Amino acid sequence: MSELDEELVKSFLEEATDLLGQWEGLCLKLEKEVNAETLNALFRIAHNIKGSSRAVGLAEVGKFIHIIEDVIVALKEGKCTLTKRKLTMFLEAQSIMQDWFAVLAVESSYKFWPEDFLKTYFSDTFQFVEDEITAPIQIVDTTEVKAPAAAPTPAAPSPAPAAHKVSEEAKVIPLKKEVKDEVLRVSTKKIDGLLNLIGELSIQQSILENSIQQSTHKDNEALIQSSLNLSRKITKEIYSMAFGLRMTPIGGIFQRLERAIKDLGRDLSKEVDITFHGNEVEIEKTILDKLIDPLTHIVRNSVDHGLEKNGDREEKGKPYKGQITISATKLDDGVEVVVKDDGKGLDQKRILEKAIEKGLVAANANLSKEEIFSLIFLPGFSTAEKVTSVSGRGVGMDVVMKTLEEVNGKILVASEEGRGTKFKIMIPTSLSIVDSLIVSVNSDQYVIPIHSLEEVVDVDASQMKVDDSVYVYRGKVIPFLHLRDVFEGEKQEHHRGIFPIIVTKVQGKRMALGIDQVLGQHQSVVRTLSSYFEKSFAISGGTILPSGEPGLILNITSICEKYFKYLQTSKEVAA
Amino acid sequence: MSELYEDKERYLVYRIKDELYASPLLDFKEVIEYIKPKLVPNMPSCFSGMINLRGLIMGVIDLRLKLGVHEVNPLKSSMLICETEVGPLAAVIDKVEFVVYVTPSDIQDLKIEGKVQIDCLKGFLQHQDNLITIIDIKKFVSSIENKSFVEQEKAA
Repeated sequence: MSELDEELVKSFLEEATDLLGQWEGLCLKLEKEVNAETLNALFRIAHNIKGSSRAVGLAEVGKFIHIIEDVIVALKEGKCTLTKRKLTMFLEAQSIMQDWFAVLAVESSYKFWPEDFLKTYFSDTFQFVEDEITAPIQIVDTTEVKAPAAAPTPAAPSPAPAAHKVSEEAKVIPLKKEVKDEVLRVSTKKIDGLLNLIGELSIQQSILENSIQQSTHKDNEALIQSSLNLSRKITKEIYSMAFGLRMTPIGGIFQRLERAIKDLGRDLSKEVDITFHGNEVEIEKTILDKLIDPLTHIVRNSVDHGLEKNGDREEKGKPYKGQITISATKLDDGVEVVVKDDGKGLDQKRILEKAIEKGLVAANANLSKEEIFSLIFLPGFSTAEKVTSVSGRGVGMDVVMKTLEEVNGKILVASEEGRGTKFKIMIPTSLSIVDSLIVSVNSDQYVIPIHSLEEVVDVDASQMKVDDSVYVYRGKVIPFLHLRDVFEGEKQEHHRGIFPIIVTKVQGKRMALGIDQVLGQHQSVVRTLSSYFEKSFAISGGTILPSGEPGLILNITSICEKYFKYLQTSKEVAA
Repeated sequence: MSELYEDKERYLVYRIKDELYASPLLDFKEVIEYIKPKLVPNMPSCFSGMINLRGLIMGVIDLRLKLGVHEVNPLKSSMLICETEVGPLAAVIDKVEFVVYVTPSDIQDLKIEGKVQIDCLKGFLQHQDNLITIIDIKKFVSSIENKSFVEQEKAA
């Protein structure tokens, strides 16, 4: 194995990881219905991985998958029936390989042999060993076949449910990948479309060149004009298509969610029906990756806290199996992902009590239903009464919210007691273009993304109270800060008269920021700035303004957070 | 390049007020005319802002301010573009003088504390009647604080 070609291994791992994803989907399919087609597909994947792994010199992988393949072949030929145990074995084998490949991706010389896993499921001659209870999959089997630990680390906790591993993986591996160049799978249709357009563009270009050379002709002017118009149109299409290259359908992560739900459901002996809508909705890959963790957390919460035990459901007039619906819808300004369960819903009273107990809200606070629900997104809030391995480690919904905010996303929750809970996530489809407002502060232009503000209001300076530090917004007192004071530079006198402010909401708290003037709206193409600019907390990126000048995109969240922190410390100092 | 220059490296010599400085020519991507930078708030004082160079936004560091020259004439200056560890940066200087071929052994490795902090100082070159300070330009422009020994002492 010493002469492994790194490149070959890399491309094998990419292919194999993709195949493993399909593997997972097929197993979930088999769980519902056993048919020859699915078995054949599973066999082909195993066979593919076996062939390619041997081709790149990963003999152990080949040997391992060969053992699994034998079981599939026996199933295909009808020599044995698919049992729950076999299915668990397939899924576990998939997890093992996923972990295995993840290590290989970093260190191609990694040696590993899943000893424990093989001992659990196979005899010394690698024959599959069935449990005493050989229950065929179709029969509803209430006795759960517990799978002994089979993680690559021999010291794994006893009945390590695969679901936990999946979610941890999702957290750890992308981190490593961030440093490297990312590889995207793009459909050939998209590439062909792009090449076609580029071809058309070069034709227009030669028409232009030709027309200019023969400048004596009178009709040329019209020809040049139409050619220019066409070029402009084509360029625009190329532009949008090139952006489209980074888009991937959301369906890819739905499968992972299904797995997470099924696995957790098995651990908690809750049966769940999952429905997906909008698999084809496309989102930029980087955003999609950021969605995995929050969505996994939400669905696990739904299974753990939301859904009742199957037995308790029927007496409430609900279907025996818990229902979880996940749907994605394309909107004008992004994508909306909704996770809905028909469980017991959020307990307003308990949330409020908990929040008061933790000092997150005042005891006499008069909060609306929505405001109470939004408390669950505050840092340090967790309603789980006991700490389970599933959820309730005190890091929960606040992390979900924070992760989503990183990609300019928002999350809302609605719930009805006894009826269920609905999480609504709104995210942009792309981070490359943001709708924004161009404003001026200290006679410099800045760009504020529209998603980061709630409202722009014209106010009179006299409406600012307490030394210009608070503003009364719809009867509520919110902190006010003029952006002039945030930016160093030539200080102008404090504005008198009427000036615009923007109202924003950060960490569930509203804040008003003063500006000098709103200059207009702009679709800003985001340019990454060199890390040198990180010295300034107020900036999240750069863009080229319509005037051709460079412009700064303001990081409203970080400005507000910094101000809140400042208020906090000065309060402490005063106390 | 003829054999004459075989062991030699090309250095770009530039002027800041009365002093000459030089850095390896290949450390620069290009030399451009001065573009007025746009202000970026809350940055170190030697950071003059940012410019749009053909669609690429880059930070501008005024080397003159970094080297303690405060009377600057923006109209009589050039920008040296270099790719540093923190991304592309434009360094503002007074004037590009010439390119000189240098044999590495000609550089006197003398580490003295001056306006250039020691880790960015590569030595000195005696060229005709001039003493040229050789700077590791990539390191120098991207270093944030440039406190001289005296200032550091004062701060401490």
